[in-house]
Amino acid sequence: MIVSSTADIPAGGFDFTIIGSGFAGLYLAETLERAELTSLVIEQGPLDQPLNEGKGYYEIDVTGLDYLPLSERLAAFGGTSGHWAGMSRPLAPSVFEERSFLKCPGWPITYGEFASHLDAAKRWLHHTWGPSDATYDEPREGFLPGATAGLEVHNFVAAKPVRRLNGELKPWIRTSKAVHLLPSHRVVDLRLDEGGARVGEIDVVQIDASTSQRLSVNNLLLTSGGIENARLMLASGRKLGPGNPFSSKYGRTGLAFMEHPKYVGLEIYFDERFPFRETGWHDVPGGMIGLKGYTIEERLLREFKLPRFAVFPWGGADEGADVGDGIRALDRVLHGSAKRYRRSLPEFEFEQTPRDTSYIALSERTDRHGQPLARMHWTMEEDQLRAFWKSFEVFAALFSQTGSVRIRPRFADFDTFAQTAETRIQHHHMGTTAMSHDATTGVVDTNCKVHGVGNLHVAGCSVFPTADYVNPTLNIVALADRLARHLITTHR
Amino acid sequence: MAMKRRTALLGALALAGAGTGLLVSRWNPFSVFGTGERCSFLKLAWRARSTADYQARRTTLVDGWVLSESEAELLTLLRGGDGESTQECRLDSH
Repeated sequence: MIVSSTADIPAGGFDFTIIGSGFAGLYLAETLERAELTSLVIEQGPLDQPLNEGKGYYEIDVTGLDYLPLSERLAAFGGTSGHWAGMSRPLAPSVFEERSFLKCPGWPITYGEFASHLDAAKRWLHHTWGPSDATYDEPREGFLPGATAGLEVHNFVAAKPVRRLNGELKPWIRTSKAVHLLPSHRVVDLRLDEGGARVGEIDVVQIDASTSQRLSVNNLLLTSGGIENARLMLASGRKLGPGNPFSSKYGRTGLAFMEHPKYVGLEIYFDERFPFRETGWHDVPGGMIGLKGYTIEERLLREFKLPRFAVFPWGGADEGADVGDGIRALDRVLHGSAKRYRRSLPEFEFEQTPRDTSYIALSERTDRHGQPLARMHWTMEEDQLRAFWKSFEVFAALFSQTGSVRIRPRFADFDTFAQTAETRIQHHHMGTTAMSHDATTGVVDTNCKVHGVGNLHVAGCSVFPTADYVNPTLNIVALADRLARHLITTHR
Repeated sequence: MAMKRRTALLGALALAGAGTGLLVSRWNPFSVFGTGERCSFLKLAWRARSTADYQARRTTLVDGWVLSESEAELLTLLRGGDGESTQECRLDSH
């Protein structure tokens, strides 16, 4: 059911109040409804068109690396995922383990505890295909000519055509009796009750109004994205002073912000034997489309102390590249003929290991509701850049083995790379309310409950302690399923 | 060591190329011709050697390209830029 103002909200309250109607929030509301638990979903954007940038609610201050305007973060029913391209792949088992060689913590839950929710997430997203249940990997034999040990092919999939779930979810929420949606309203404050260990009330303001209304809450689920989750907690904790539970006792809220940085480190020249078209979007069984990324085996990542990454060779490709006389001469001797090449400037998509030097904080500037803007301080430390550089080198040596490619580095040396390379972004905002065993190292516990606050849970990729290099949506929904099962068990 | 390896490479090329019509000319280093089974064997042997180099990460940059050390050596031979006489590089002379 859709309500247009706080005055229309039925008396008696809801089992859950959910801030944000992205896929995490909607998955939780729908799953809780099936267990006969009621929810109020508060969404700052409208039901149909995203709140446009001009309103400034998603404006941020940037003090670290350049970050493009957040036009891909959409305030609307369905959130950004409602406009997502559908590309999907599960997190790898290894990102759940501690990798000391990267100074990278693991997760406080096992991969198995996470992976048992992937099937539910795949069904909900209409992603019905995967070469195996646990991963989307497939053998490289027969696909990559001449491929030798060390290389791996990673599949990404999306439903075909891409399903806009927000469109499917609108009819449901219009008629639902257990779930009420309050669009175009924004939560501006979380207020602790007298005991100081639970959220008792929240302040809500209509997006074009200036005065807020106060609502009581029983249980609060914060699902408004990797920037806003941390910003709202920090803004709400500010008046409470240091050590408050929203900023987390040890000041962890907002820290360890992660993106998926992308760099063009190599020029790759593919000869005519390389199945180039099949690496771009192509049909796979089950009414799905697939996309292939190339990477190296886990044992080599460990040997060379590298983060997880993949290369998508179809990016920036052009025809008929000239490789010069030297390469043509080698081709004649080694392969019997000089080949025509196609040049690609593929992006390496990297995992960024969490560091406290990347964070979301509060800006000095405020918006028209008097709310402090988020300030993003995104950085890349030298050891991370050196690991990216090493990844180019190892991948180039291994990928060259195929014999169907020739490779040339884009940068003369590491210093040139570090000083001049363009850092591209994916608009994947992760970390900032990380999952941990205790408050000294993170913000939420293994059930996604904020340390020290009895009735506040967080869902979405802000709870990721590490992020792999893959798109987060499938994994966000899997974690939302895990949280929903926990909430249903504890509230029945 | 490098010299030994070079000599071995030259020898391998020479033996495998003997009587096959494979010719590497210093004066036209890119005119490399090969026919017949033995030449095919030579190419396969080179592929194997080169792949082993990549696997052991024995790679080097030549003119900006990532090449295996074997490929790099072969390219040097093909270009004849190492002071060797034309005669020594003529594989059909054996």
